[in-house]
Amino acid sequence: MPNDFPTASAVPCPAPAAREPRPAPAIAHRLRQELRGQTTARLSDGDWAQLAASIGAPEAQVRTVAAFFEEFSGTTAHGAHFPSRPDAPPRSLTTPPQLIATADDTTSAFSLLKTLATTENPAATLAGRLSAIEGLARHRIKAGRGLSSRWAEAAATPAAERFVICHTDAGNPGSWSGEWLLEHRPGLVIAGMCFAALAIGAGEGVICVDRSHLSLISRLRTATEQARAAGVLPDDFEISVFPTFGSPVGGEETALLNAIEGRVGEARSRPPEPEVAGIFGKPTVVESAEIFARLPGWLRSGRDDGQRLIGLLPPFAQPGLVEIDATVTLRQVASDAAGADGLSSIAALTVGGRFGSLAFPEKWDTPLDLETLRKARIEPANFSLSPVPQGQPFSDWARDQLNFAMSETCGRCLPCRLGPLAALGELDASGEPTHRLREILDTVAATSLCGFGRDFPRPILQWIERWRHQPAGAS
Amino acid sequence: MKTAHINSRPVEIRPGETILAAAQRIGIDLPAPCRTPGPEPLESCRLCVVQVNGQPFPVAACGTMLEAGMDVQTHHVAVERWRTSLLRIVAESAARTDHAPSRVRDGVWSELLSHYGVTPPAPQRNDLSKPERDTSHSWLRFDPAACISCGACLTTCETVAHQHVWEIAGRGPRRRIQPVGGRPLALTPCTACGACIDPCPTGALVERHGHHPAEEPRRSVESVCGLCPVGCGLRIESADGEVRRVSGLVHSPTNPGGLLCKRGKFAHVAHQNWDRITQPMLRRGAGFCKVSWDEALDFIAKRLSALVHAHGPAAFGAIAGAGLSTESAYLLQKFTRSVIGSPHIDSVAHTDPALDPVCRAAFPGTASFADLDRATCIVVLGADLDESHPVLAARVRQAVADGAALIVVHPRRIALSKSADCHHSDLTPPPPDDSSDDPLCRLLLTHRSGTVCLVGSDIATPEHLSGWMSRLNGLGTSALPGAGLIFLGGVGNHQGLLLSGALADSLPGHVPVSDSQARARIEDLWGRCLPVESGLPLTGMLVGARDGRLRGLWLAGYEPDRVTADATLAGLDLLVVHDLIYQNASRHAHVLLPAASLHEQTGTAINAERRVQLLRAAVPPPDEARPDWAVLTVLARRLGVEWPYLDPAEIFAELALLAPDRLAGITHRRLDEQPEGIQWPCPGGNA
Repeated sequence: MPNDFPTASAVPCPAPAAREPRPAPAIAHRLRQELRGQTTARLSDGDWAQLAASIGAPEAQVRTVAAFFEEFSGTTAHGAHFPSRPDAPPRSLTTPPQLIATADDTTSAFSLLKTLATTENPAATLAGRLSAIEGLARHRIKAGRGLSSRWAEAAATPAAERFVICHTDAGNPGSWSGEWLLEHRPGLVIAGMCFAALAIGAGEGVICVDRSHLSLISRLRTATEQARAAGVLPDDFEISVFPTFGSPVGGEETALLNAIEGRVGEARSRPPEPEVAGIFGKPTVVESAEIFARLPGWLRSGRDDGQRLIGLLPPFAQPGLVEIDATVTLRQVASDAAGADGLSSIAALTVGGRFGSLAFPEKWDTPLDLETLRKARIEPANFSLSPVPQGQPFSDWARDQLNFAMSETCGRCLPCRLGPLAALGELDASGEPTHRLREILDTVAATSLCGFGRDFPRPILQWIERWRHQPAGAS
Repeated sequence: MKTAHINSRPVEIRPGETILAAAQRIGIDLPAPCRTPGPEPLESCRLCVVQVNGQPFPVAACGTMLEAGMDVQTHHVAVERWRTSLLRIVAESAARTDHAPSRVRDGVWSELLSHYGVTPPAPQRNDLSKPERDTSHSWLRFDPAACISCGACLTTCETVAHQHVWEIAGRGPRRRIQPVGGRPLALTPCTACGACIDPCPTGALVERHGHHPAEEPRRSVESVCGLCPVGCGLRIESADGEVRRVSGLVHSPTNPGGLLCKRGKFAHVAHQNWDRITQPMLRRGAGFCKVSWDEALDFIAKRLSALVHAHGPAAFGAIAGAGLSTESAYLLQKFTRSVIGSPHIDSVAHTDPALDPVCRAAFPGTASFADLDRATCIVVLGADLDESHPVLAARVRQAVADGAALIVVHPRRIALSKSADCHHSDLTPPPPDDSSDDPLCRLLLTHRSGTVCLVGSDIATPEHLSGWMSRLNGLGTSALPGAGLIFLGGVGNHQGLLLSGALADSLPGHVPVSDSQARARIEDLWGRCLPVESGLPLTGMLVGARDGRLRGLWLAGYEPDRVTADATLAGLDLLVVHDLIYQNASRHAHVLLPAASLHEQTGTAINAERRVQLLRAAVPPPDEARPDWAVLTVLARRLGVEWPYLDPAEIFAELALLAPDRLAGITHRRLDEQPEGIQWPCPGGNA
């Protein structure tokens, strides 16, 4: 046979054809289909091999995903720290009441959407209207940037497809607003998502719901179908409902994105921000249900006064949801929640749950306005409020905080995985905030990968700074 | 030029460079225990955090790109305090959980502990409850109690080796890295490539054999692996004249990510075994006695002269094995052809006569391994890559993940068939039919260009190869980027053996013996007459030895199986075995000569993509062991032929003269300057 193959240098080189990476299987979603509500506790080695084969992923990866999520592993440690939402309807401290007063009327929202869609450049028109909304840039800041600039970035990043994610802050105790809105104002949320899709050019929307809210899931699916049947949803925008596989890391967005992709729900490192590379590396806007529900109202009125639905957590006498605006002070909300008990029994307020900040009485006259709060060194991770009762012992309270962090952390990075454990050990050994305890918490806050690890030590450190190891309220 | 500052020193920005890489470039040492050779940084240990101006939080240097205008502080007092505290957190947690390391072995982690003055966790009373050390595996040991669950092993296993041996069991503080299913490591699909050992920062994963603490001063040499035709880049660490650890070169063109296979990673363990031949030995009755080189060579020279005198030069034959450098193989055939005058020289590159036309036809191939990274379609033809060339199997899997189509043609379903779009068990290609619905035909049609074909030695006949070649050529396969043919020989330095002329029917430069012009040119250069006819092939020589046609045989690194050895080698007048280890052929040897392994000698090997690579001696050969070329030079002098070679570079220069179309322009010195080797045709070689 002749040896007549051409040599490497003999032929001029045209550009090679491009290759598209193959998509990895969405392991968690496939697991849900295969397991059908069962846990993996009783699977034999043979079962696992079969499971992996039918999913089409290596057994090691399937086992890793299954071990991470509560739905598959059957562990109950996560999510045990979440108080359930009281049945009482939301109250209002803002005049006029906004979301809680308006019915779930989406007619005007969808007609505005239609009008916008017929303009020459709908995305640009909408972007212009968004950036013109008064107060939006002040009140809706995430990761240091306002809503319209984040969405503009998602729209400007070149990509074949883009995503809109609506989350309910699951994993953030006391964030009941998303849940309530999806139950009572689903149309507004869906309309808001359509606006977001128009603004960034997204073709797919996902509403994330905690998997325990079965009725909510089916109701949302019905609402989406109805909207689709009524012909108000844009044709090129699909909305699906995603029941989570278990508690995402304290509501950390990037962990949620991983879970939606069907991968292990660990936090991702930033940058890139989700707006640049979110789901499957595509531009993604992730907002809470409340943002979407309020969006049609903002577009209509052209202003945003910082209204929020905030959760008042037990042990307040009157827990529940309350709607406020940026002029309402902490004291007003707290007195409303404390009811007849009054404020005298409260030593401090936790603003923003377990990742937020402690607000001591001298700061209670601060209005619930993001900028003003930050100036007062109060970092609200979300807008929920809970009281620290007078006389609460430090070690009980700190232990509860640390146990929560331990049950929620994803474990990807070392400080957040072992930090709470080491802190608990230090607490058990001495029962008081030693120098070492502060050092541990400071290290975790400084070196953790995502916002969860950076934020949960803050309230504990604030307590120590204020009262050292004494019970709450000790001067 | 855009610049940033690290510790107030201006640093030039390079695209895609992380802060960690830039800091290391200017000589700043940052702790980065969880760094892996894979593309994605783990960012899990958080010890490499640095402060960047304008950033509210410290950032991980391993995962953050250095950008213009950044002002980075790597060893600010606060950062150092966090690092110390973090190490203490891990040490303190051991008392509270089974999921933090309670034993500290060596490795980067223990260096960090002592550098930052952190006391390692004291042995706990409940130490017995800690997971036990996994000693089930033949090549690795895993100690879960020394593991910090960083995931470096898992990521390396998945992204570099493309295997799935490790899993993460549990979330949060219960996160634990373990072999899949919690099984003993030996019962996992582990291929023992050892890729997970090098990135492990705590020494939880170590070599089972010959593991030594990292603290001892080591000499490090970059070389290549000559055990198969992939030619992986190696870093060989040695101390006290012994190889301590072999690891892959991360930026090597042949094994990206520094992946090695079991053989490349652990060959030195066998080389340092007790049964290594380290002294020349002469048969005395039923056993051997150690002698000096003088005695051994005198004996060989005397026996050889007598043998040639009595039976003629054609009664002697020599076989070159797989462990030979190109230079040694060249000298062995020169010795046989010109000093003795026998035509009988062959090598293991020629084991199967039926296959020989296949490899001659496919030799030397047109594509490079790097073409696999660009090909849109890969055809694996008659090769079980996971068995024969595991490093290439990983590269093919990476290509498949990146979107290349994969066609496996093999009589049985092989491991790679799982990743293939199409497994074709018939070695005959399907007839060209553009309208066919057969998935194979569709694939071949879609990928008219951009197909790389890997031809292995499991292909049955030359007809199969030519059938596939015309099928692929018909579809436009040619030497475009991301297209072409690679012939995978079964043995190391396959192309080197072919080019050196250690073949029964071809002379140096891969010209046939029958080519009288070429023969005359070689005779001129060597100043000796050459046999005019082709010699016996390898199997023919063994038959000849059995039948008494051959009276003397020289086996250089060639090892027949035991039955063949007993049946053919017992009745010879002279059997010289020049090898590393006492094996089957050695039992019948009259003289045993200690050889140098590929880690112990300088020379070249040529891999399957025509890449000439320099083997560098990392350690001296043990005791009296010598490389083949040195022994042959001395022996030739005893037989009255003076060879002028002082080192392998001069031998290679002579071979390059005889193979100008392939080796011109390549010298040892040039290879020494180009660590990635030179693919022939060599640029500027013919100028």
